[in-house]
Amino acid sequence: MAEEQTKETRLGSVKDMLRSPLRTIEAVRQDRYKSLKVRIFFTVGTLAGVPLLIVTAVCFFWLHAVLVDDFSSHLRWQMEHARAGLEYFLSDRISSLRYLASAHPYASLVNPQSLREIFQKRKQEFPELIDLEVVNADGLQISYAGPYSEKGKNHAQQDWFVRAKVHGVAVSQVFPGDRDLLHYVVAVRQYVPERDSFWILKASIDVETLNRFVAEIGLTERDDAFLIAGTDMLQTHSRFHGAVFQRVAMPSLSQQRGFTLMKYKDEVSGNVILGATRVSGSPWTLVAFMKPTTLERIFTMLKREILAVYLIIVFVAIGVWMNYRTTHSIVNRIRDTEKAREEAITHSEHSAKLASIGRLATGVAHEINNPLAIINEKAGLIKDLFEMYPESSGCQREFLPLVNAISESVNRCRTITHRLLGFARRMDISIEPINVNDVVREVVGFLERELAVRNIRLELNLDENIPQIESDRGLLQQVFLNIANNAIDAVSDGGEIVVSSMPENGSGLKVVIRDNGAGIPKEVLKHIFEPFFTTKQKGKGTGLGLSLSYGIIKRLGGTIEVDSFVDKGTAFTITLPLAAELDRSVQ
Amino acid sequence: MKPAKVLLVDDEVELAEAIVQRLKIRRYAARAAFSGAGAIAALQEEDPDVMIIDLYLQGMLGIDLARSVRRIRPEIVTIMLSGHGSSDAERWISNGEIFDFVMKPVEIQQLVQKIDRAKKEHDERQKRGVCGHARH
Repeated sequence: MAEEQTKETRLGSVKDMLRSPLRTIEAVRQDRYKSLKVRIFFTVGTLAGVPLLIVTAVCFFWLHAVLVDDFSSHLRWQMEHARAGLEYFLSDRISSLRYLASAHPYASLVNPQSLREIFQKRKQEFPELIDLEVVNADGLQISYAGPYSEKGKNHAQQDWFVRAKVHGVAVSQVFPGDRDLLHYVVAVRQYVPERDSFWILKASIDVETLNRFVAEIGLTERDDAFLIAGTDMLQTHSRFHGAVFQRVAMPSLSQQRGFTLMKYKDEVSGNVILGATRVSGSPWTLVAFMKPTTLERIFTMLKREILAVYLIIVFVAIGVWMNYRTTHSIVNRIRDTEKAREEAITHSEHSAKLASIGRLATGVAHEINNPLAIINEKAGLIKDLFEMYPESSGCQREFLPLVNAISESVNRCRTITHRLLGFARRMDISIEPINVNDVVREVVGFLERELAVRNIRLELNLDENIPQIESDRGLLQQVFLNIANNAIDAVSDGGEIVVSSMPENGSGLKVVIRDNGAGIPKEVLKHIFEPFFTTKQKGKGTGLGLSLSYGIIKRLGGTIEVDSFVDKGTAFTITLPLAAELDRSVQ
Repeated sequence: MKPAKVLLVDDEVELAEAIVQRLKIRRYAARAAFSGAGAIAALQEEDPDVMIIDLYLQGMLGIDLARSVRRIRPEIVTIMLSGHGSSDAERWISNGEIFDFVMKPVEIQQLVQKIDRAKKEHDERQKRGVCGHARH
């Protein structure tokens, strides 16, 4: 079924080509050029654009990697720096406490008076020191120096006490303390060998000391850094994640020492780079949430610049293209106008030439007519005289054929001059309503015998919707017959002639007589409407057919045009108005 | 019916004479004039039934002569003779300015037929008394 259809389509297109071989080939060629143009345009565009895009993308991602790397190492350096400072500070506190415990005799430490003195002295050196306390092996407070006297307090359950007891040294998490003064505890164990026991010297330190180190990390107002204890409990104030002791939503970090650097998306801060590092000898982890603002700014700038460059490229391309189009269309218009003007000039020159040739021919015919008439009458008179006086001359038998030959020649001349002068028919124009399709069918009827003998296919492609026109039936018959005869002479045996009719948008109708014959060379085409111009063998044509047809159609207010290509065929297009307006200037 | 009296007006003397001779052979009372003035003068002497006038005469158009003849001698039937067809002739015939039209070169039989028709027309005109009105 499908195959049948394609076959049908193929046959259809072949038929179309036969019907109008020239226009179809031209159309196909035009389409091919158009698609070639589009393909070349896109190929060149791709060849130029794709490498540019690749280079841009590669540079972009490379720069991104470099910038991220740079940013990360900077963050890491800052955090390592802060951690080292904090670790050094803690070990300094511990050493200082150890020195206190070993430098002073236990008795003086236990004595509240002397402990207070020691504390005061220490506090002068180190103002963040809140209190000093001596605790025995059972966790009971032995002596205390500081703002809050807490006699008999037992620390046995405290984490720092347990750790100091076991490890000899401990740094606690941050406490709220009894009076909401945030602090942490540093404790050292002092061994007493003679009693095989120990005591612990404990110092409370203001949490501000920690804040100082956190603040050392160079932060912008969009970043956040803090200490956490355990996995997520805040130990210092956080800008975005709340106050001390609140929980921070965090990814689970490895508890190993070392540095963690990762991209993280947080509900509070959005996209951040998260740095975390354990502070050794303490329960804390230093955490920083850095917004990569610089990075983002650089990228935004970069993107904007790339976009700007691309936009410029696009605008320039559009500009160039528009310039090209405008130039192209202007040049095309100029070319078309010139062509149209040339054609108009050629056409008017041609018409004028045909008209003057026509006038000349008529003039000559008219002038020859008089002497011809005299010859005719004299010859007629001679015959009359022979008939009147048959006995008068013996040589009548010799003269009569001669006179008859003169009369015959005069008749031949008369045929020519009368055709030239548009005798009879052209004189008797009779306008009546006509269906041109009927006229075409009548003419084809005259030709059927010859078409059959020469095996020429004649296809009628008549549009029944053509309007009825007011014109001269006989003259149109003569024109169609002339052109059809020429078509028959042009095609070889077995050729094809197509006669089509179609309405001509409201202003009349068109009849096209197309053959697939030998075609007419350009130099011949110029002359075909001239009288006595013929390419037919001598005696076969007068050379008046097309000239007369031209005159007739012009006289009926229509036009006749010819398109021809050698070896492809010829098409005569006759356009007729709805009502013949007789052109009296045409003889 | 009596053969018609014919006045042929043509500035081609040879042609006019040949045709007149041929008409005489066919027993028509024919004579020739070679100009418009000659024709008017001939009208004073003769009384033709039919005038055959060439379209182009020296110094004037045949149709103007025909019009004059129609005015002064309306019973004379005029036949126009010309070298080429003209749609004007159609108009003149339908206006009644001329009776008929013949193309050159002339077939003598055709001309004779036309003269006979014209003669009939002439006789009818006389019967209708057209001459009574026109003759002064």
